[in-house]
Amino acid sequence: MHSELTPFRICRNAIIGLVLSLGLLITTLCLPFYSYRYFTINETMKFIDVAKANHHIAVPLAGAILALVFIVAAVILMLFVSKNKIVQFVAKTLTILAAFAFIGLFFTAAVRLLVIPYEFDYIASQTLESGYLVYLAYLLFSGVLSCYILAIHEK
Amino acid sequence: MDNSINASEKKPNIFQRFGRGFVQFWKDFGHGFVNFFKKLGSGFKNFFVNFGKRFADGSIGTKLSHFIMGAGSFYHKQYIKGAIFLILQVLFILFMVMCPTVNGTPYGWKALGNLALKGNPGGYDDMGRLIEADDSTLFLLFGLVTIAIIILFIIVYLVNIASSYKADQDEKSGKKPTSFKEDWGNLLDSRFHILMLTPTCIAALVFTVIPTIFMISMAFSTYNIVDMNDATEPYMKNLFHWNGLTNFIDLFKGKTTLGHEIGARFFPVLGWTFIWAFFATTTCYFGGILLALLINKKGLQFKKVFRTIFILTIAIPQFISLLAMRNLLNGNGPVNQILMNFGWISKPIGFLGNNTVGDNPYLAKVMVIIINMWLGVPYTMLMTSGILMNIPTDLYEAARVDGTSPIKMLFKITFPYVFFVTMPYLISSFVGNINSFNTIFLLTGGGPSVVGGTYVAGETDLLVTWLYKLTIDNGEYNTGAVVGILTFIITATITLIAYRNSKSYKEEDTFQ
Amino acid sequence: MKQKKVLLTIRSRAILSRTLSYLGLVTLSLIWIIPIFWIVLSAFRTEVNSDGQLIGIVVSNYFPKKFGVQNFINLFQGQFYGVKGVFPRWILNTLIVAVVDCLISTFLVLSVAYCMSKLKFKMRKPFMNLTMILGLFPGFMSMIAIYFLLKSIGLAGNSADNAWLNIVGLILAYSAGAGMGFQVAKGFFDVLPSSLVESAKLDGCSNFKIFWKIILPLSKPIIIYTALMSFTGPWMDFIFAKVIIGTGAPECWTVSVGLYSLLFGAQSDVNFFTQFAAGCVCVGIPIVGLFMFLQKYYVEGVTAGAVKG
Repeated sequence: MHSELTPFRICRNAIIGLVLSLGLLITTLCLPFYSYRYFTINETMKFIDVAKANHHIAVPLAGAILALVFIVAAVILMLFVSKNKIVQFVAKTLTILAAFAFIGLFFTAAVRLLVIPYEFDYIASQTLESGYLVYLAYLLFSGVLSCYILAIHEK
Repeated sequence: MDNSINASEKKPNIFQRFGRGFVQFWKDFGHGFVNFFKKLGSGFKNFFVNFGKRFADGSIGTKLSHFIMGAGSFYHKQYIKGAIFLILQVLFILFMVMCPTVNGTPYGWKALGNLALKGNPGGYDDMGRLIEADDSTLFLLFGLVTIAIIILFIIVYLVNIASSYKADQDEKSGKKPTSFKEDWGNLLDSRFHILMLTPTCIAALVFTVIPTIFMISMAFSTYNIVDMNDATEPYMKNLFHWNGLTNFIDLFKGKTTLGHEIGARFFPVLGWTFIWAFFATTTCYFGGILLALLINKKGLQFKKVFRTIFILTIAIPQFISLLAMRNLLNGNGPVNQILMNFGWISKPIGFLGNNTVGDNPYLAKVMVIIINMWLGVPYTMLMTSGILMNIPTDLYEAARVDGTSPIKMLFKITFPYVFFVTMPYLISSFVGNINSFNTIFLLTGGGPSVVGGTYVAGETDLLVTWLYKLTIDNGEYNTGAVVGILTFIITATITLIAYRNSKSYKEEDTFQ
Repeated sequence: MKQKKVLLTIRSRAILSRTLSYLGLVTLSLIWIIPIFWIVLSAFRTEVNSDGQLIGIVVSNYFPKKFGVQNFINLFQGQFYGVKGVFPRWILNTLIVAVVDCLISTFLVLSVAYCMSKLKFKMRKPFMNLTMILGLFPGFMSMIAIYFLLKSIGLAGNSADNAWLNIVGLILAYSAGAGMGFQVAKGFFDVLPSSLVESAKLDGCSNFKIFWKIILPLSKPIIIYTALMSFTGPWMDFIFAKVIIGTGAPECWTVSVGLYSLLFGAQSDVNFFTQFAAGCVCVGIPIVGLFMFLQKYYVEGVTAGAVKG
C-alpha cells in the first residue's frame, strides 16, 4: 500500500458521525417531546419529564443513551488500542450490541408503542412533538453509524 | 467461461426436462405395471414349483412339516426349534377356532366373516331388553388384524419348511444341521439384518400398514358419525356398511347424496393446496439462499452470532411461535392496535381470517405465506450456508480475473451450483408443504369460512387440515378417507416423477 | 496520488456494502426475534385490570408496565380443567414420553439405517421403496385407526384412574413410527467407508460386533442428532397426542396438548394468555437450550439429509 491507513484515518468519518449523533441526542432531550390536552389543561413535556412520569419509559431512554456510550467507547478503543486483539473484540461486541439496541428502539419508537405516557380515562388529544421526530432521526442515524463502525474494521 | 455457457443452457431446459420427465413417467408407469404383474405371475409360478419340489425332494421330516410344523426340525434333532414352531402352530389354530372376544367383538374366523360388515342392527328382544347393535368399527379392525395374523402365520409356516429343507440339504452334503445355538449366533452375524429389521417390521405392520388399510377401506363405506347419529334408532349408532365407489363418484357431483361437501369443496381446496405449496417452497427457498449469502458475505463478522439467532427461531417449538403469531395478528392484537393508533384503520383487520365471516380470504392467504416464510427461511439458510462454504473458490477466482462483476458471478456461478445440489431438497420440500399441517391449522384454523354454505373446509384449508377437521372434529370418516387417499395419490405421483427425474439427473455428472 | 484515490474508492465501496449488509442483518434478526421476545415479555407481565385479576393480553404497550413472576406461580399451582396443580404433571408426562421414546426410537432408527446402508440382502431395494411409499400417506389416516387399536387393547381413551396407560399407548405410537424415518441416518452411514466393514469382516468379526464396536463409536454425530430429534418431538407435537390421549383426562395430557387447550380448548379463556406464555417459556427454554448446545450436530444432520436427498 502506498499510504498507511492509520487508525485515525480509518475512524475519521466515524468520529464525525459520533459528534453528529451526540448533537441529535442533546437536541432530542431539549426539544419538547410530547404534549397533551386534557380538558382545559394544555401541557407540553420533554423526554425526561415523560420518563419521570412513566417509569417504563425510562428503559428506552436509558437504552438510547447507553448505546451511544457503547459506540463512543468502541471508537475510542479502536483509535488508541488498535493492536490488541482482545480489546478489538470487545470493541466490536459493544458496537454490535449498540446496533441492535438502536435499530430495535427505532422500530418500537416508530410505531409509537413505547411513548404513550398516559392512558386517560377520558378522551384527550395527545400529540407527539418535534422532539419525537428528532428522537427517531437520532436512533436511525446512530444505528447506521454503528453498522458503519462495524464495517470499517479491517477483518 | 465454459461454466457460464453450461449454466445458461440449463435454465430453459429444466422445464422441458420436467415435461419430458412427466411423459416418460407415465410411459414407465405403464411398463412398470405390466412388468410388475408379469413378475408377480412368474414369482407365483416359481413359488409353487419350489413348493412342490421341496415336498417331493424332502425327507420324511420335511414332508411332515407341511402338516405339523416343527416335525422336520424334530426329525433333524433340532428340538428347541421344533418346539417353537409347534407351539406357534397350536396357538394359531386355537386363535382362529376359539375366536377370543374383545369388547364384544370376536377375533378368529368369525372376524373374517364380519368383514362383510353386515352387523346385527340390534333391537329389542321378546322381553323388551335392548340388544346393542354391533360395532362395525371393531368388525373392520379385528378383521384386518386377523388377516395380518394369518399372513404372519403363513410366513412362519414357510420358514418352518425352509429350515427343515435346509437341514435336509445340510445332511445330504455331510454337514451337521445347525443347532439352536448356532442359529442364534447366525442372527448376530450373517442374518444380522433380520434381527435388526424385525422389530421395525412388526411395528410398521401394526402401526402403519394396518391403520392405513383400515382408513383406505373406510373410504368405501358409509362410516360417518354425522349420518350415523341420525340413525333410526339410537342403539344402531355404531353400524355402517360398504357402499362401494359411491363416495368417489360423489366427488364430481357437487354435494353428496347426504349433503356432505366433498364435491363442492374438493377442487378449490386442491387448487389452494398447490398454490400454497408452490409459493411456500419458493419464497422460503430463495429467501433462505439470500439470507445465507448475506451472512456468508466476505468480511462480515459475527457470522456465528447471526446464524445462532436464526437457529433460535427454528429451535422454538412450532406451536409456540405460531400461536404467538396468531395472537399478534388477532383482532385485538398489537398489530391491529398499532394500526388503529396511527389512525390508518378504524376497525381491526382480520389478518388471519378468524374474526368475522366477512374477512378477506386473499389477505389471509397472503399472510399465511408470509408467516410461513418467517418459519422456513432459517432452515434453508442453514442448509445453503453449508453448501455455499463448499463451493470451490477457484471458480470465483477465475471469474474475477476475467473481470466479471459480483452480481454476474452470483447469477452464473452461485445460483446454478446451489440449485443443482439442493434440487432433491426442493422437491421434498414441495411435497412436504403440501402436507404441512401445523402452519395453517395453528395460524388460521382453516381460515375464513366460505361464504354461501356451511362447509367444514375454510378458505385457507389444505387437504390435510380438511382431512383433520373432517375426521377428528366431525367424525366424517368416509369423506376424510377419500380425501386422504387422493392426497396420497397426488403426493406419491409427484414424488415418484421427481425421484426418477432427479435420479437420472444425478447420474449425469456433467455439472463440473 | 491517483493510485491512492482509486484504492480508497474500492475500499469505500467495500465499506458501504458491508455497512448495508450489517444493517440488513440486524434488521432481519430483529424482525425474526420480535414475536419470540413478545412471548417472553408476556410471560412476565403482571398488569392487573380493574377487577384485580391479571389481564391476559395487553396490547397497548409492548413493554410490560409491571414485571413479575405471578404468571409462573399461577401456572404451577393453578387449577385447569378441574385439576389442581396439573401443569407440573403435564411436564412430567411429557418428560417420560420423551425419554422413553428417545431411547427406543434412536435404537430402531440406527439399526434400520445401518442395515439399509451397509448390509446386503435380498429385499433391500423393495423395502426402501415400500418405506418411502408408506411415508407418503398423510399421518392422520393412521392416527384414528391407531387410536381404535390401542383403545381395544386398553391403551388409549382411558379415564382418570388408568390415565397412565394412555401414556404407554402414546409412547408406543411415537416409537413405532420411528423406524421408518431412517433416511437421514442412512445418508450418514453411506458416507462411512465400506472398507472399514470389509476389513473387519476379513478379520473375522460378526456383523453384530462390527455394528457395536466399530460403527457406533464413529457415529456420534448422527446418534446425537437422532436422539435430539426424538427427544424434542413429544414436547412439540400436539395433534397426535391429542388424538391418542383424548380430552377426557387432564392428568395425562402432555404439555403441548395442555397449553393448546388453555387457549383454544373447551374451557379456554383469553386471560390465560400470560400463563400460556409462561408455560411456553418453561417448555421453550430447555428445548432451545438443547438445540443451541447441540447445534453442531443438528446442522450436520440437516445438511446431510438434504444433500443426500
